[in-house]
Amino acid sequence: MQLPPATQILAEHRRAVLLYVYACCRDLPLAEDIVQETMLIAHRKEEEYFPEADFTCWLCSIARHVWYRERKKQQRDQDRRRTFEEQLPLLLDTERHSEARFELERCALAGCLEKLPKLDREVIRQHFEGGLKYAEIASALQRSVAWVKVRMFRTRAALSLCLRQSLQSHET
Amino acid sequence: MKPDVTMQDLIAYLDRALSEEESHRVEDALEGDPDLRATYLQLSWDRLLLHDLHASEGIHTAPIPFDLPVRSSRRLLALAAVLALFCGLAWWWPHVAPPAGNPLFVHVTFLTGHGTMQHGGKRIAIPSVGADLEAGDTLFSDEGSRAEIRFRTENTVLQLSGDGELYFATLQPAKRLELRRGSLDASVAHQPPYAPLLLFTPHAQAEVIGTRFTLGAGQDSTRLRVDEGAVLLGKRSEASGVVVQALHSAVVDGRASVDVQPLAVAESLQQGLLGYWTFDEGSGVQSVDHASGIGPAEIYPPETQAGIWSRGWRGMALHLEGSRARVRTGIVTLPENLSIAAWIQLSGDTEARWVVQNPADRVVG
Repeated sequence: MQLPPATQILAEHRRAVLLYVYACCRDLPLAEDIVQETMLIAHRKEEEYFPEADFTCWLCSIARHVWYRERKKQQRDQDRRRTFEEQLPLLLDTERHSEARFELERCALAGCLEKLPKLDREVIRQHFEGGLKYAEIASALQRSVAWVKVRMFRTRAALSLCLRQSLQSHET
Repeated sequence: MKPDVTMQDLIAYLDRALSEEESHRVEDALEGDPDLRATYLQLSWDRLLLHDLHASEGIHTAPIPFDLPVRSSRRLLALAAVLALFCGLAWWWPHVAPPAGNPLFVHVTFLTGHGTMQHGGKRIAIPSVGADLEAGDTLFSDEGSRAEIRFRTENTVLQLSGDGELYFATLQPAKRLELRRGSLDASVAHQPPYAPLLLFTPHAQAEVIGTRFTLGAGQDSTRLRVDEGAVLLGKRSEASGVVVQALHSAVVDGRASVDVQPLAVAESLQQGLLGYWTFDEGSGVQSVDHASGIGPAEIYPPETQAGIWSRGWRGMALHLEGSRARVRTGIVTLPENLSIAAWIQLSGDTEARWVVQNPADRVVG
């Protein structure tokens, strides 16, 4: 049995909304919570959606309100990134950020990580798996924070380039 | 892209490695530059991929060994020269400098209530302006009070609350404190790896490199809640411990091992959580009940390939095939009012759409 249409549509847009919220808050567990709340609200307010409107933008507007509410809870400055957040939905591309595309890029990135030099791979691992901050990585590797910052940039740039090349070769 | 905000800045901003002022600069640039926003979104997407690739359970029993990069002989020579200079200074300094006191003394003030300190065998009331403490002193806080302890040479802040007693065993090179009773909220600045902050309670010991956490010492148990960073926690009688990562809590009591749980579970347990199964095992025919109220869930029927472990949205997941496939828990009588939540992805033809069944009580949900 196929998923009910509304649920299926929500699932298709989930990754795009997650990217939007994550770009706003830079905190993955919080972003996942906000997306979950957004999907629940969207499911409840299904009748309020007009087919003429962009569905992703509609979801993002709900997510934005959930995010504002969360920020208010945290008593943080709300106005700082308002303009930035409101312009983000324009950049979203549902197909580009679909679940299938994510899986494809994830596999390609795993291959790229294997190609990295050992030290670069360790810097990435310590940050993403160990949850260490730049200063903590610098201390662990007996380097300066500036070194970690530059290393992180070069490694991420190399990964990004490798990923695009892998995807390009996959498409051709 | 604006010349004053580079891709390196955007990556550091995403990684939360910039100061508040630098972050505002990046945000201002993002607001006014569509190209920069497009780059930022792409970097956010790449970061989500990296997060997903490195998703872990959050608990490691031991640090992963890592070999430091081999340095060039020139660097080694420079290092040897610096070491020789340092050794020379270490020999020469005591001969020319007057003996220094303990520079790492701490200052304590009471935010609420009152307290005393024991210094040189005397019990002294702490005045409203606060007092300095040294190694060997003990701080006492009265019931309902909260004392703030600040280290003069670093940005570490501790708060002792309740009917508390905190003994400052040593302050350098490693800070070694003993929480004999009460609760301690801590925001610890990054410590040198060779001299971590060591916290002892009657039952446990915690090694801190730099983090934000709460440690509570009761009569029979010690509770730790980690909000940021990580803390190495073990039984006081044992040399080893487990690393408690951010958003996890741990209890050290009479049981054989340190009990570590995600904070959500620990807080839910206090509100009456009966069972919690993450299905993150990835192998075997059972999933552990982290709430310990019901017991392990068994994949049924065990003789077939009914349950296949697969990758989940976070960690592992259980893929159930066929009409008979299910997970079973022990016999339990459900309370009259309860809530059940489950993360499930349906696929293919699914006729029966119930998630939970209790044949004894004829409950289907």
